[in-house]
Amino acid sequence: MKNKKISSPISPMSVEILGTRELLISGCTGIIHFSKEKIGVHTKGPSVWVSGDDLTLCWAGDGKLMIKGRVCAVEYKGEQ
Amino acid sequence: MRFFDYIRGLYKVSVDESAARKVLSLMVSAKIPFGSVSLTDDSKAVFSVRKKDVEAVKKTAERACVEITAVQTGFPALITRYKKRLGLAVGAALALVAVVFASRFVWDIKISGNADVGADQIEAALDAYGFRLGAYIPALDVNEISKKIVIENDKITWMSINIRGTVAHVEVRETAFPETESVSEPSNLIASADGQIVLVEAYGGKSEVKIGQTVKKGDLLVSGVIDSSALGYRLVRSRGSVYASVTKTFSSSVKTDTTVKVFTGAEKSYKTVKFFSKKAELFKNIDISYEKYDTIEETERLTVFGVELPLFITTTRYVEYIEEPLTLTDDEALDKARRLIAEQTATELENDEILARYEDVKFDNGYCTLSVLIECVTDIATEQKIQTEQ
Repeated sequence: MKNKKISSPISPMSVEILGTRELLISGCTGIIHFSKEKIGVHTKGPSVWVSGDDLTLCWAGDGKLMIKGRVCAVEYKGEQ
Repeated sequence: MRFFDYIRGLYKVSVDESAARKVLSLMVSAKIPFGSVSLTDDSKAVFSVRKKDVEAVKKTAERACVEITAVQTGFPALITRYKKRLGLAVGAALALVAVVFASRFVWDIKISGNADVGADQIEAALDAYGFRLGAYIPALDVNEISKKIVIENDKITWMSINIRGTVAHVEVRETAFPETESVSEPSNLIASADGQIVLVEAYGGKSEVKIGQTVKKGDLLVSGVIDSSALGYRLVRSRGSVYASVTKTFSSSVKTDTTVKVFTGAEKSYKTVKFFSKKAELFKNIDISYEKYDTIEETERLTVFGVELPLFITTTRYVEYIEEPLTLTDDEALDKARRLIAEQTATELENDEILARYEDVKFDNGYCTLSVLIECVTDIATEQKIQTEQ
């Protein structure tokens, strides 16, 4: 019997903010925009836009993205 | 984690900033992990991926019609770069073996807690059981060694040996109370010199002398035989001090025509290296052609960043000298004679009260003879055991 790789389903969208330097977005499906000042992320729900300075992106697990840097604002756009 | 990433090896992927979003979005959808994405000054987005994911990243970039470059980093890249240099690999392996091997031997012994018992005495006791620099650690039964040393040494009540890495920490506790005196053996106190009694302090036995009495050497001062009408006679141990005014004489003779050592400035030296307990001479067949010379040995222990190594360098210096004739003046000869007498009296009169000092100087046949007569008060009591029939 072959071992079948079971991929985990995309977790529901959630945003966790740690102080002003770290942000974890769960339920990501793609990246809309990427720059040092602004990062936009597609999720199952509304898209999440993060504004700030020296922003970087990092994979944090299935469907999870970690954004680091000086976070100034978090916006939700689109379907709520 | 960074250490494991380095060992496993990562690929650094570089893509145009404008196309980075597309590639990263596709990677997120395909659940391909990536490290922190950073933007460089030359408009490139750089991120790292694991070796097993690099092919998937390349395919993703191909689907998106984006050009990427992937460069291997970490330990596997290092191996690839130096794989033709066998010497490096062999050297690294030998160094690893040497470190592992060397860590099984004692490199240093640190002794603490001792005050009266010297560290060299403790080291000698440990050495008798094979515990020394360079000893093979797995073969040492430290508990057994410490027990045996405590049993053999009356002055040590406790010893602990802890080996941390290659350093042996030896802690000792010394006996707090002095040996108790035996009071069961009967004895008398007799005079060790002629003198006039000044003070009698008898703690045991019966005093046979009075203050002002003159005694000769060997006379009974305190008797251990107590005769009582109620109990009959019994034997006790005599203890105490009997102070008497005595006369002590010292003399020294100094030759006025003497020689003095003058160093010529010529010297030869050679070094010996000692690693653990193994010695190796750095120079063989040393030829010392000097007629007269002093030998001076200095040993230095090497340290690296404050850590003492089991490596000792002993430098032996042979310093040539000649003896030149020297005639001392009367004053110089007398000074020298006085110094010699001072050395003699330093320990002998240490606990005595000096009452008077008389000097007699003679210069005769090239010699200066100094005789010193010292009147002092000293303890003349000496214990003498009473022989009993058993």
